[in-house]
Amino acid sequence: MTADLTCAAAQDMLPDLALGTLSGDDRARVLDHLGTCAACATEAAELTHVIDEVVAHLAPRADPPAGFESRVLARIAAPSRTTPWWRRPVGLVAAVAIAVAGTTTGLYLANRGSSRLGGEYVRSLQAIGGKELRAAPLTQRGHTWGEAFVYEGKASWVFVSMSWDVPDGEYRVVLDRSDGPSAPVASLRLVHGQGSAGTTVGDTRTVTAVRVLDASGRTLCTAALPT
Amino acid sequence: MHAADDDALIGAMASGDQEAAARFVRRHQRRVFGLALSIVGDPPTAEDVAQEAFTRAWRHAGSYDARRGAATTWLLTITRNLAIDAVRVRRSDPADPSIMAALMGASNLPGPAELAEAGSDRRRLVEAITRLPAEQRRALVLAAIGGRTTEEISRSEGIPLGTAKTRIRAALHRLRADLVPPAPDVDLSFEQ
Repeated sequence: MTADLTCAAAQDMLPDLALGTLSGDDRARVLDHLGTCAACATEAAELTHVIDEVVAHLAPRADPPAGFESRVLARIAAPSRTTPWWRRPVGLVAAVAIAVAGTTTGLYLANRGSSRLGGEYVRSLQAIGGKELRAAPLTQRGHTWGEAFVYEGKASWVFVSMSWDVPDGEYRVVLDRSDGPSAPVASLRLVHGQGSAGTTVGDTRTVTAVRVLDASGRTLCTAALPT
Repeated sequence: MHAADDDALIGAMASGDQEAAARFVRRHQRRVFGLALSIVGDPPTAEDVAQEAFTRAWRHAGSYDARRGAATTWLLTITRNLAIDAVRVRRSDPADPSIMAALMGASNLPGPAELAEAGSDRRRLVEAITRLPAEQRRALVLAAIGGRTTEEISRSEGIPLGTAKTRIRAALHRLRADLVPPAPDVDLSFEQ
């Protein structure tokens, strides 16, 4: 559960919030505070503006490798073929679960992932000593707005990525569990309709769904995880 | 400087014009790749991030709203978020400070001639950053351009966490005072 923050405690965390480097419970607590404190919310917006300006005006320049432009244009023409590894199209299948039973044997791929794609993920999971990776699209009324990943390993984590034309701002990531109450675990900041958030969590094996909520607590979209 | 051109290009991209996308990539690729490289630290991942940033700009060109901010800010915010995601998901070390130092070297920072031609916003920002104490400037650049957390800055700079926080906070507040116009005073007192 989150405890109410004082303005002084919230302001101590505002620089990290504005920099996008605050995660997990701290982020959720600060956002709770901003929802009720106009002065701190204004300060957060102003600090974000300063950082945007610093990045926009001082971003260093470097020549990309030869052929960069043509590779970008190829990706635009065929987006699904060159999506980077951390955004591989798990969301393109209904839901995927990959698990390692024990430590070295008993790999299996559940649900409807292709065997080739499944093989890639199983090998990745094996390489990092993970126990289970589940992923599902974040949907609302049949539309897909992002993806949610839940990983069980030495350090378990949840990662959510969303792209949606809802108002920019802070949203909340909530986990539903089969053995207990739902709980917020992270905040998701959308800028121009896009954003992602990740955080470490405890045992993920009882997580049944990942939901994204708006400031009023309304569920925007849900990822029902394979179990 | 080319805000109107950028808006026109994004408008054309929204209607599927790949030639506009090519011009947009050509115009911004050095900044997008440079920012990605300053955060993730290795060129292959930086290229992945930069490619994804342009792909997203293409995919979401229709939802770009110039009233919310300049195209450059939009594109670099996408790039920065993707780069930070890539570092966090990989759980790898962010860029070595020396890579950033090289990227932020004299050839990349605006010189007097460029500043003279730059818009007043940029000139004001660079001047404000120049006035910051060196240690605050370095912490700010590591955080904003390097995508580092205060904990990472504390470790890499060999300073206490509280000191790293204080430097970043002080730098941001000083810049805010220089960049954000003060809110008008409002008298909330009642006459009895």
